[in-house]
Amino acid sequence: MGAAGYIAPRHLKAIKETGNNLIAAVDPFDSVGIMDSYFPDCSFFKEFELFDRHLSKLKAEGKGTDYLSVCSPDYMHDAHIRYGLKIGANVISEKPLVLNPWNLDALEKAEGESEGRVFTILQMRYHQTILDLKKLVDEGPADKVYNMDLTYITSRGNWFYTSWKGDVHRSGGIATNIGIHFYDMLHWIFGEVKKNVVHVKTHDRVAGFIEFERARVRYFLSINADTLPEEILAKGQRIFRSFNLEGKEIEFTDGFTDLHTESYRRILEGDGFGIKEARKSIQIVYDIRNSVPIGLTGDYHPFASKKIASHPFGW
Amino acid sequence: MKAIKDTGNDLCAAYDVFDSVGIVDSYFPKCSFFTQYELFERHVAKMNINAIKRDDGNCCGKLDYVSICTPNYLHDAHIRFGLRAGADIICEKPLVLNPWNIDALKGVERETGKRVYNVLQLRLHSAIIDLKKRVESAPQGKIFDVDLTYITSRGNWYYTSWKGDVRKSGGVATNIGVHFYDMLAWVFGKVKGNIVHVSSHDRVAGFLEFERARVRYFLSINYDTLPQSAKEAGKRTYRSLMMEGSEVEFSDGFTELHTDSYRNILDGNGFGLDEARNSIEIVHDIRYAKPIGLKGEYHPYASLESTAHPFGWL
Repeated sequence: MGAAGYIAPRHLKAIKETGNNLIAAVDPFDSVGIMDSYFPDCSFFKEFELFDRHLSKLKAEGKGTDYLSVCSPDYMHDAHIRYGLKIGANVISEKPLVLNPWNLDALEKAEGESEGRVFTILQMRYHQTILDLKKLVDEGPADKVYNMDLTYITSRGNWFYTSWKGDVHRSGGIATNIGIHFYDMLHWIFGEVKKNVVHVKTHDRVAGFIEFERARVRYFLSINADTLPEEILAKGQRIFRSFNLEGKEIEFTDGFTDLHTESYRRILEGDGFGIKEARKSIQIVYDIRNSVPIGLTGDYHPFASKKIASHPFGW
Repeated sequence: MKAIKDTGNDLCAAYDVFDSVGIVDSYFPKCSFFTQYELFERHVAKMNINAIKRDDGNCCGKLDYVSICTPNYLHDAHIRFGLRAGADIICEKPLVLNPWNIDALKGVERETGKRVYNVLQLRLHSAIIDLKKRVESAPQGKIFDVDLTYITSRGNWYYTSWKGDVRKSGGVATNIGVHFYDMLAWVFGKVKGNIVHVSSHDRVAGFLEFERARVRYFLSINYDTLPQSAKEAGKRTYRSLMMEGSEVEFSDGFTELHTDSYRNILDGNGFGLDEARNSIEIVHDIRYAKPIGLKGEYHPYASLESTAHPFGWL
């Protein structure tokens, strides 16, 4: 569900590379020629009702849906996951699985009442650099608490604010929309959250501090090009990613391309990440979204003090 | 977007009903973007009275050009919008669906003093330019025999989309063929005869007589109509232009043609409404012709078995 968006091609590729077939797709937008590169025989619908009708007819012929992949806008994931479970399919949904922790409780119930299971894509957990980092932490002294600075700036133009992504009710805001996989990774490596403080939070950035069992993390996430470090701007780049652990930079710019395929492979082997694994990061981003920023007090990320920008639409 | 950027221009505002447009950031991160036509129109109106200020101080004064890459049936409306907004227009092909739309647009051009340009990029392709020279340097009375075959397989999504609706796309000849018909008319001159042998949701086969050529053509979006050799090579597209029994090679050299088109337009050498007319007339006539079946000079592929519409439509 969702075939015309940015992330859909990675799912098409993963479905194909794991030897599976996409039998039907739905998207209100019809610019989906990309499907011909993977599944030219796939049925395609612009209206949900017709998609549903098609799947129900297939089911009546004994050709039920095995898996339903969800790459729709964030706020629709919950509804689309429920739909998949209702038709007896397993569901593979993009992150964030849902926007709020209580949605997970309700989904768990729906999962329990269905024949299917819900899986999410947490591809950072398959990234070699992250695996190495987790190993380092797991094998280090048990009481060692690391200091980490996480900086992620991925510049977006004005279109971002016109699209559903710029609406906090639909995307969950910056932390949720561009940060969820980082929070998942941090929790996965460093354990339970002990403290979650937000210093700065606007339409284009979020800066805060999270204390995990094994790390004290200052983070800064932004979609505003003006927050890029000078040297990055000078190079004409629009993305900056930095993981600084105990003053040492962790390099992980490459190795992202096949992680969706790896995620699918694991799910098909019965080794995917379910609702339980998604919970921690959903809780973190929910707490960030609903917290009141305390401003520049305490242990804040150095970029938190960057000049605040007004919303491009004056909102 | 690439052509606008490569010619040193700036895209100030864009409009699309769909909002998955992150691609804009690769070219014009400062571009304003709207999903509602009214808001786009309002923005353009404000630009035209210098009421839009951008933080980088660039552009966003009065509009110079409007580029149109919307579904075919909307081109006419969007061209009119741009002209009335005081801009020149750069529009994808087919410019419009019917010849009389061109007449009406000429009126709006006169009224506004602005111009409409059409992207007809095959005319800028070096292999096609060479072909035109070859024809022009041949003896005056020489009439060439040409077979044009173009098969570009499309999945079921095509029929769900506006492209599969003949009222919106104009059908197979218009949607995937208009640039070929334009090229044929450009190279071989006026149309003297236009016969359609087979026309369906997924293919069109016919015969076109030009001043300097007799052309049998076959256009299709159905994978099953691909030659065996293409299928075996794992290809989904097949393109062949045979002239007097020998192949005219033009499979490469397409990447820069949009930029070249923009460059020509900006240099004052663009293709205007009159240049678009021949191909629009051809595709219009094909759309409304009654197929005569396998009679006369038909393309060899015209006899391929026909296929039912994937949705069962007639």
